Amino acid sequence: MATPTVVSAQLLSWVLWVLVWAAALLLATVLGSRAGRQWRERRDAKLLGELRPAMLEVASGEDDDASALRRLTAVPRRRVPVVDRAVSAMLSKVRGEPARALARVLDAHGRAEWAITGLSSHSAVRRAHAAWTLGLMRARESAPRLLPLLQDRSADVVVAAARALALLGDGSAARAVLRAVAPRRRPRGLPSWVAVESLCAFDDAAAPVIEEATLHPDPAVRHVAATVIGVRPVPGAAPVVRERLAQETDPRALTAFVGALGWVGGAQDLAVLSGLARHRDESVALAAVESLERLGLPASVAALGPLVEDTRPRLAERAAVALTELGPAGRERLLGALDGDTPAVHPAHYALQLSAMRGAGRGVA
Amino acid sequence: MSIPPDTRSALESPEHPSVLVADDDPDIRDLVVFKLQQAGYEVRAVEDGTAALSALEDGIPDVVVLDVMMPGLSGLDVLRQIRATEALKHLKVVLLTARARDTDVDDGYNTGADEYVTKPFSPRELVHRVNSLLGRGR
Repeated sequence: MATPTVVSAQLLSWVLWVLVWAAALLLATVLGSRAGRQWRERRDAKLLGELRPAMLEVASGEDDDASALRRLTAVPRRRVPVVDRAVSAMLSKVRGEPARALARVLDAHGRAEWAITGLSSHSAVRRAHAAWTLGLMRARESAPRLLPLLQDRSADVVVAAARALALLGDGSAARAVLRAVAPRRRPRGLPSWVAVESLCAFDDAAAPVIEEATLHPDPAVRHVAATVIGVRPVPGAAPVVRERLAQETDPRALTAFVGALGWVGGAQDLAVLSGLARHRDESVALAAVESLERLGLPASVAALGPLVEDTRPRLAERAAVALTELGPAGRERLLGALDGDTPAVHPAHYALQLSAMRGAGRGVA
Repeated sequence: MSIPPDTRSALESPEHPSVLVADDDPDIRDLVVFKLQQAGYEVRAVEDGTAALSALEDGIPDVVVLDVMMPGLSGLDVLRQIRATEALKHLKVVLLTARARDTDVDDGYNTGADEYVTKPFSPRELVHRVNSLLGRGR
């Protein structure tokens, strides 16, 4: 009969063997999966290397006889995802006929159907990927399918949908994009810079909607609309910007309207911008200084000159830099400030030095 | 930057004008090289701004195509160095970039770019721009 000591020793030995075997099995699994991944990566790289000339031919618009297109579409079914990833990456970098040709590769591989199905997936990653794929494929008819995703519960999906719509360029989606900036049921809306990028990519159908949005009750939407008007001015925008600017109470939206006026305004706006350049909100004041510079009028010098003595250092320096961009009159004003004993000395010195460095960069003696 | 005085003559070829392409994205780099070669250019390609400046020391091309956002030296940094270097200051430079705002375009031209092409881009349009800089009607 075995004693308890012998039984314990046997049990310990058995446990040790199990542990050794488990460790060996784990190691083999890790090494095996790593080797498998490396083998797959080499296999994919080889395939993509073989197809690279065809891809470049299609993407450069040199595939006159569509033979390269056929090579890309004829890959075996199990290798399609690898090729589609590479085609999608290239597709985001080109436009025009080459983009349409690359989209035909994805279409031939059934990516459009995959994407349409994926729009209603439970996975947010899949929904975002599907939306982006439809955008990449420039499938303009799919714009209505993307609109509901602008109210998706996932912020990533909303951003992907807005960017996809931007690639489609369909201005009829503008209202939905603006609505996504200030959603009713979600705490956070579409980031304003994504909305601006999308709206700027839309065709002219977006223009009236953007103008209407300058009166939206939510200041975030007004801010986006005003920024878009500044970045992508439309004819006749100046009176709208002037009127809204006079009524605006939200500092962030006001900053955007002031910035827009620099792009669409003229000499008649000098007095308003001069007043706003002394606004208590520094962002508004800085935007007014930039707009005075952008108008590029000789009279801007008189408006900017006193601001170089402003007690707010950033504003004073920005005004001084603006003066260097307004020709000899602006520079003379700064040189004059250097002789005095006023707060203007430092900003004037900074701006003239910056201007000299920029001049050297541009090859100006 | 120091450019040997005889570098240009070693590379000049009226039959095949040369282009230096600097872009950190291999897809775009390969695509631009391919398209320009198809259009009859001799093309060298590098992947960042520092390598672009080194390549210019090895030989001066007829045109440089520069991405703006590259690791290390940006395309605008390279352009500033080009315009500040006596032997390079008249070199034709095309900026090829995803930065498409009006202020970005202004910055590009103010820094000394001859052409500004935004991504996503049309390879055909890029070749037209390069051709027009060199007065070539392809």
